[in-house]
Amino acid sequence: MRKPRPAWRCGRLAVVCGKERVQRFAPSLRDSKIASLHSQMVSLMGSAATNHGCHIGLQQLEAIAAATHSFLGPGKRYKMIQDEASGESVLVRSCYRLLEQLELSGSVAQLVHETTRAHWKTLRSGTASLLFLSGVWSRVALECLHQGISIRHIVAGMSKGLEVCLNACNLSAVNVDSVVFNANVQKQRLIRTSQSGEVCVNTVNSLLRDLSLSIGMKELSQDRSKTKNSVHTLCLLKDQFPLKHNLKLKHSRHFNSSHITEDGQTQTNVFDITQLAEAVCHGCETTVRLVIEASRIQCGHSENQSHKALDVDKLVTCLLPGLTEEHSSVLHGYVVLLSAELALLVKHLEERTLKMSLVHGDLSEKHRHIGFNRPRGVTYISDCFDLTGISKEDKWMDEALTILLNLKVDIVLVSGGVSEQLKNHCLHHHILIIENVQVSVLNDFAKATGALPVSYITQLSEQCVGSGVCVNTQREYRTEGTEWIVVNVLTDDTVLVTALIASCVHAKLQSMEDQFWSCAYRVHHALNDRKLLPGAGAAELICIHQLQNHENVSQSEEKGDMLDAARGAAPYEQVILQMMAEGWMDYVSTLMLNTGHVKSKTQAWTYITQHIKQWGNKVPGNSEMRETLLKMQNDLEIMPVGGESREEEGMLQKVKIGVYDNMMVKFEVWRRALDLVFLILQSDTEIVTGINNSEGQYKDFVIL
Amino acid sequence: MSRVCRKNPSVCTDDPLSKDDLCSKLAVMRHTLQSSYGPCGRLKQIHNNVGGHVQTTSTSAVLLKAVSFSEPLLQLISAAILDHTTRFSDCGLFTGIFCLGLIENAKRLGLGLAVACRVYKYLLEQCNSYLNADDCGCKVQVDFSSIQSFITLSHTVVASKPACMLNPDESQHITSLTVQAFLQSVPSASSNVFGRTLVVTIEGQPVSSSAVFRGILLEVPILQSVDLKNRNPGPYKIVLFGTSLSGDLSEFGEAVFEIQAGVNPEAVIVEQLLKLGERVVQDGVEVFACQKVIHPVLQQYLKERGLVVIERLGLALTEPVSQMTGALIMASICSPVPAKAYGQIGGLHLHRIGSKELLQLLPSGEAAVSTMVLCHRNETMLEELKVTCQRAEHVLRLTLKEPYALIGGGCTETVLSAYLKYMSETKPSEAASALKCSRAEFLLATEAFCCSLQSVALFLNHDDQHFLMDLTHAHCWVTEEDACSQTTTLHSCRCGLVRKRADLEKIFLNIPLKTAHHSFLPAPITSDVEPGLLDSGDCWLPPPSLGAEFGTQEVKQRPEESEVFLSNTVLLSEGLFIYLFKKLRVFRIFPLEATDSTTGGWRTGD
Repeated sequence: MRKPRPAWRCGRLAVVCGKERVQRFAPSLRDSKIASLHSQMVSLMGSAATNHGCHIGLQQLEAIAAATHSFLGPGKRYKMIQDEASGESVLVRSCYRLLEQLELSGSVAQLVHETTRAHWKTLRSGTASLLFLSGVWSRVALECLHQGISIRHIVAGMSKGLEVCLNACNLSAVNVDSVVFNANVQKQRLIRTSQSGEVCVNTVNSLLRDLSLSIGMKELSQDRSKTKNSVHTLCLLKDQFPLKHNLKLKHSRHFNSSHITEDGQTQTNVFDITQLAEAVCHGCETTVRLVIEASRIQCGHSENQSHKALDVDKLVTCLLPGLTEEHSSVLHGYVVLLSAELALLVKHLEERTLKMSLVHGDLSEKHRHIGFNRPRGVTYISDCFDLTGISKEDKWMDEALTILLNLKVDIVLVSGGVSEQLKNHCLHHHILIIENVQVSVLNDFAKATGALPVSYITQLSEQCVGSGVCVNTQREYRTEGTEWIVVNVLTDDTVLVTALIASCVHAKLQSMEDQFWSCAYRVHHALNDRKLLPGAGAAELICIHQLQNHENVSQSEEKGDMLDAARGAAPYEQVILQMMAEGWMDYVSTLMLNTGHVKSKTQAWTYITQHIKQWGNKVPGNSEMRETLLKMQNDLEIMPVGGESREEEGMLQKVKIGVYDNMMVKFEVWRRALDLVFLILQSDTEIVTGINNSEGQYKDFVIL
Repeated sequence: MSRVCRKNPSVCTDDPLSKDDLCSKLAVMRHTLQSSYGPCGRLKQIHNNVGGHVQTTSTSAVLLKAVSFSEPLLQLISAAILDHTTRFSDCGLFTGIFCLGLIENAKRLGLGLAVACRVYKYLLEQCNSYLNADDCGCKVQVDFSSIQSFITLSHTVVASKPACMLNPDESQHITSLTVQAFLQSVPSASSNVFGRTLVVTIEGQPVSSSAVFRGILLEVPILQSVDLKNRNPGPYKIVLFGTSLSGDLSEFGEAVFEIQAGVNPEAVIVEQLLKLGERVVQDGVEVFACQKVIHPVLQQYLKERGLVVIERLGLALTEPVSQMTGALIMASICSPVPAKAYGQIGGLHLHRIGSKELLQLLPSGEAAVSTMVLCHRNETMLEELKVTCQRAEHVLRLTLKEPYALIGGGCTETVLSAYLKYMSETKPSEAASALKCSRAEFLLATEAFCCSLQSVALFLNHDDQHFLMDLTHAHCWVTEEDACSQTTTLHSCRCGLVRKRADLEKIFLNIPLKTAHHSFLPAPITSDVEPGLLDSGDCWLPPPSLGAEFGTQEVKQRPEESEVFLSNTVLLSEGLFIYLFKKLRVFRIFPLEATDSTTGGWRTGD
């Protein structure tokens, strides 16, 4: 069950972020409230302020975003949120959880929360970038206001900036197949190197990478998005580069026909997501192993070949507090943590296939379906005393038990709660009851076993009972004085997979679960998009380059066309694009700083500028540019900060695969961040409804 | 025993407008409305300060519905604006700004209330007769022969709300969807019932996923997945209940029951429900729909027999379902369903948009019901988009009643004010004597009226633009004072009807010292000046050639509100209505609890 949300005020942000930020945040909030009225208050946050080149709403947004800078990139740091009243504290590691835990008043904070929540609910990653960018871009907007640029022009200019970035990134997107193929070739090489102890010919390697990438580009432009096995790709490759490269290829003794067949064997009909998952996992090695395993199980159990390599809808998580993190694993079926008193019962049930029924809602006499209004003003009259002493509840319990026993139900999954007494009775009769099961799991079991979910136990009939279910105990363990058993409920026809996430530190479980979902969804999106962006800040570097480059283009246009200069917006556009480029610089440098590759932002800044200079006026998608990017990725190789020991080989492989980002998620993050900035930029009034001014606490407001 | 409270006497005060407190509140309200006006309008963020949902809007209807007012006068104005928007959808902000402008200007110029009322009424009649005249320069006939005029009109409405956060492509998409929905709702020749468009919103999906579907789309809950695989193709028989089938006693109201022990009322009702289900199944019904909740036992019974069960349609959808299928809404579970109460559905389809599963009910006949699925990234933008699309569709519908539109961009206001000023100044004495006031008073009131009209046009500007009026056609022009381009060349007026000419003399509207000018009769724009413009119907937007010259930046900001003629003329009278209403006696009876303070009290006028 969810813990009730502790009451934190915005001022509590002090615990979370640096002190100076709060001071900026809190007073500006107070200043904003100019006006106030009876049951309503109106505070004019922009109108007066905008003229002076500052916008309180944007300042608030920037301050909130600044509090989450350390969440950017793979090396996220935990934040502790403490409730001073109750002394409880929570450990958070993502923007979404942070904002969820804070009690936010103020419309800006509320909007930020709503945006991150909507983003998290649908895409499950990228909330840190979302918040970071909205902070950076609100600074851009503020700077524009300061320079006297009107809001109209800011909106136009920044939209243009985003458009430029999106176009550039679209051009430099890489096909998923080429990433996987590339990784496979690398792997082959590594295996061979380790087997024969030879040093591999580097030219072939780099050539292959280059070629596979350009194949990826080709496919992208044709918009073909079918899974190809590498044999096909290699043939294509040979066809397209028949002369020059074949010559070179012949020199390599590793690269001959036998190689191709071998490669073909490694890639079966089912798309192997290992390489892909590693490319998008962003350093969460332990978690990504769970995801890969989940995919393997799902592929193994699906009957039709067209099944997706990873179905996130058929994934559930089970948190195991008290076990060490090495115990995290993935199992086929629905796994749940039960108290140890059920151990004997589970043992008893393990030997045979079971009958199952599903109950939607609570399993108790008092429970009624949603939408049922309990009658009020009903009195029961009777002409004789009821001497039996059997309460309604007992009667219901007897009835329920009789039904379950008659239908020979062995296991009941309930989405709500179950009355304690019934549970005890069922225990005696060897019926296993599992409470608080997610509705999606009920749905899956309904499909797999043929059971029909019912709202009342009296509805149960022969048709509603499913069969072919097994249970088994995975593990028994003891923590903090309570004993637990981990029970797996399984049918053959399901592809439902449970990820067991274990940690000794109770407070970390939530973040670990979130991380698992992030990883799973990254793979899911990559499979859906069929395209990836170069990660580790590379896409952002392209954006910086494009924004700066665009400036040059428009300047040269201007010279030829004086009418264009008179347009009015064009000069501002350059200024705004330049500022947006600086925003990206900030993003990449913070990323580098967070991952620990540079010691200061200045160092990162210098590094970035050097690299961008090398590109000159090139178009994105240019091969030279891509090489630099790959080189940069190797330099930057974003690795987890944690000191986990890794095998030498694994590490080598990692570096070569490179880091990739989900294209759709990234674009969506950018759009949402800009939307948020625009919404706040264009707002001038905050209206608070339902105010009770009896205490006179809103004296400085206008009450309408 | 209840407490005995002393009843407070009613407090009456003369002339409420003389109260500074009230005036400042009026000023805040006016500022709130005027700053929301137009495509560059500022947004308002409405929330409840305790973590509730934030609404971001610049739509008057949304804004005023969310805010409750303490002052009767503000409530009155708000109610009048809301009433206007419920009837015409559009021009709520115009009504509010104009109305408050009339009140404030009359007060500022020290006009007597009675005189102001009479003159305002007279001027309003002048406006109406001018707008109704055939040679009126500010109205344009809507061209039904091409879709272009609808697109333009719809685009103007969609683009006028910045909180929708649409980029040009997206707003183009939404525009065409609204026109499509509108065209689908136009009945065919055989039936003369106007169709309707329902809106379903889906958060988190890109705007480009928005679409218009025939028939009605319903969201399917996760556990009630509909299996359409082994179903014969339609049409299907449908039964529709308006009463709750949840098996409770709520249908009996708040009555007091005495029930014999041993009798289980719930079981009795479920039995009754099952009987009903049996009859329905016997009659060959394949879709069972209910506005409210259906008891799970009945649902199970029906599903086992292969029926599609739809519960919790809601009030908003029950009526359209009834209209589309021809089913009568059953209100009782006790009587059997008569044969004529059954309706027909043309077919069923399942659609999956994002994570949501939607069931589409297709009409069997010609019923013009369609559903617009709107998607957006953010809940607050989605809400605004929904309101805007509904408004756009309503505006399109109003053109069928009155096929005229007014020129936008503030040009209507400037033309109208120039006309009124000219008419009043040519024969002030006659009009004044007819209105039983002095010549000076008459001219002053005219000034107040015209000033209010012009100021509406001025509030389209929220940035550093300057508004000008030419002294020939009295159209509205805009220039910018930028750091980089001091002299912006103007190619055409705001509405795009008048092209730039050397002989056009212009005055500034928003710089007080430069506004002085002689009154003149706005010259009609002769058809040979811009012959193609009126016919093609896109006078609210610059013509394509112009658009190319201006570049995209200009085109984006250009679509101003091109008010539908009908709603605009009515709103003029609304503005006046409020002013007149002020003269009535308004009593405020204090509630019994309010014992101590009379500061919040509002005194009656006159």
